[in-house]
Amino acid sequence: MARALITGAASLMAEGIARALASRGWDFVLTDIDTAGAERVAALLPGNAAAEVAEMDVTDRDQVTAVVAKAARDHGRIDALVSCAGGLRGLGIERKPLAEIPPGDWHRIIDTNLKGMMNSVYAVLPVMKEQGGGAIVSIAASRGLRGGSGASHYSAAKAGIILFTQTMVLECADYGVRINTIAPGNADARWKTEAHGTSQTPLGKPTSEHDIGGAVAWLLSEDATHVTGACIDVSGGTTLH
Amino acid sequence: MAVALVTGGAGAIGRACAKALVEEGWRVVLADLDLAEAEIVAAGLGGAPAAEAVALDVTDFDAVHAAVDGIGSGQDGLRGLVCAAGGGRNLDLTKGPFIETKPAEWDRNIEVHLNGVYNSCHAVLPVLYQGGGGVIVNISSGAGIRGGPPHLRQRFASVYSACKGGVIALTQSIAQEAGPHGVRANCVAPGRTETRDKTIEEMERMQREEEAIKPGSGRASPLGRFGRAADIADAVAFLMSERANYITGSCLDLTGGIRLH
Repeated sequence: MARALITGAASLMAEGIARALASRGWDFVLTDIDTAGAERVAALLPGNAAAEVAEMDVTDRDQVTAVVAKAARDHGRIDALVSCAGGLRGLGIERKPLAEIPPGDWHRIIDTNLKGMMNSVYAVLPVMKEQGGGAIVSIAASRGLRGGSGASHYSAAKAGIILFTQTMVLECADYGVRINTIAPGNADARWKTEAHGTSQTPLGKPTSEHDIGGAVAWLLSEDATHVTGACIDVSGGTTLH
Repeated sequence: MAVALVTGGAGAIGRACAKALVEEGWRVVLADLDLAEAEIVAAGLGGAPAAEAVALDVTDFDAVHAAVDGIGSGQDGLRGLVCAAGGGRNLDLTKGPFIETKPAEWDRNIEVHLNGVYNSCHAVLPVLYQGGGGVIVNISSGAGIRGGPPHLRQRFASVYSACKGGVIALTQSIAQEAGPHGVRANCVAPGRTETRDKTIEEMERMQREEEAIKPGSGRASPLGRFGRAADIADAVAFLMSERANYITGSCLDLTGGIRLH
C-alpha cells in the first residue's frame, strides 16, 4: 500500500488530509511534536489504514533525518510527503504589524513554516529519488499569494513555500517526483473558536479540513500525474478579497 | 533634504539606486558590508551631505537598528529605504541539486535575503511613522515572482526563490499595515542583471555557454539584452518619488520580459 509521511499531523488540517487519504487506501507515518494529538488523529482513521506516530519537530534537522530514515527502513518506501507543520496563531504567536514583531517571533515563524518544510523535503527527497518516484504536497496559504496585515512573517514564509516548490519542479522531475502546494485561506483549526471571528469567504463558510483533504488527495492521485509546480487555491475565494 | 538608506549600497544595483536617488534630490546613506567600497561610491556622488557610507551587516538586527537610529527622523531625516543587500557575493552557495546542498547554506541565504529585509524594515518603519511617512522599495527578483528557471543557472535556486518570493509577500503585508501611516512599500523584480562581480560582457559569455549546452536556454530576454543596474535604479527612483504616490504593494517586473519564456 502507498504510504504518506505527514508533518504537523496533530492539526485539524492534517486530520482532514489523513481521513481523505485513508479512504483512498493510503497508510501513514504521522509526525508531530504533539504525539498525543497525532495518536488521536490515528485513532480516527478507518481500521484498514495503517498509521504509526513519530515524534518530530520539523525545525530539528537531526530528528527529521532520523524519523525519515526509520520510516524508509521500516516500510521500504515513502510515496508521499505532506508538509503540514507550521502556522501563526496556532504556534501561539499573535499577529502584529512588522514594526512590532520581535525577532524571536519572526524567526520562529520562518523556521517552522519555511525551513521546516525545507528540512522535510531535504530528508524525504533522496528516499523518493532512490525508489524512483513520489509526490510532495506542502501547505502554503492564501497570505502567501497576497500578504496580510499583521502577518508579514507568516506571509513571507508561505510565499517562500510556493516559490521554493515552483523552483524545485525540474530537480524533482529528474527523480520522478511531483511537487505542489495548496493555499488554504480562512481555514478552520482546533484553536479557533467563534471568538476568533472566522471572517466569511466568498463561498460563505470557512475552509474546512475536508476541503484541504480532498485537494491533497487529488494531487496525490492518479488523476494528477501531470500536475507539478502548481499552487492550488483552496480558500473559498478568500485570496481575492 | 530627505534621507534614503540604501542597503547593499556598494553593490551594482545599490550604487545605481543611490546615484538615481541623489539626482532626484535625496540624500543617501550607503550601507554595506564593504565599507571601503561604499565610501568610494559615496565620494563619487559628491560625498557628504549628499552621500555618506556606513558599514552594515543586514543580518545583524542590533547593528541595523543602531545604524537607522543614527540617521534621525522628520523632514530632513530618514524618509526612504531601499533594500538592495544580497546577491551571490559572500554567500558561496553550492550550484547543484537541493538535496546536495548543506542546510547551513540555506540558513545563510535566508538570513541575508529574507531576514535581512525584516531587520531593515523593522528598524526603519517606526522612524518613518514618527516622521509622518515615507517609502520603501525592496529588491526582490524575477525568481520571486515565479520560481523555475528562465535560464539554466537558476535551475537550482530554490532557496533563493523562496526568499525573494517571501520579500514580495512581506512587502505586500507592509503596504497593508503602513498605508494609514503614510508609508508606501513596493518591490522591484530584476531578472538577469549585471552585478559588481559579473559584467554584461561576462553574462554574454555565460549566455553563449548555456546556448551550447541547451539551445534556447541562454536567451537574455525578449529585448535581446541583459539588465543594467541603471534599468533597476530608474524604476526604484520612480517608485521612491512623489510621481508614484498612489503605488503601494506592487512588484514591478524588471526582467526585460524574461519571465515570459
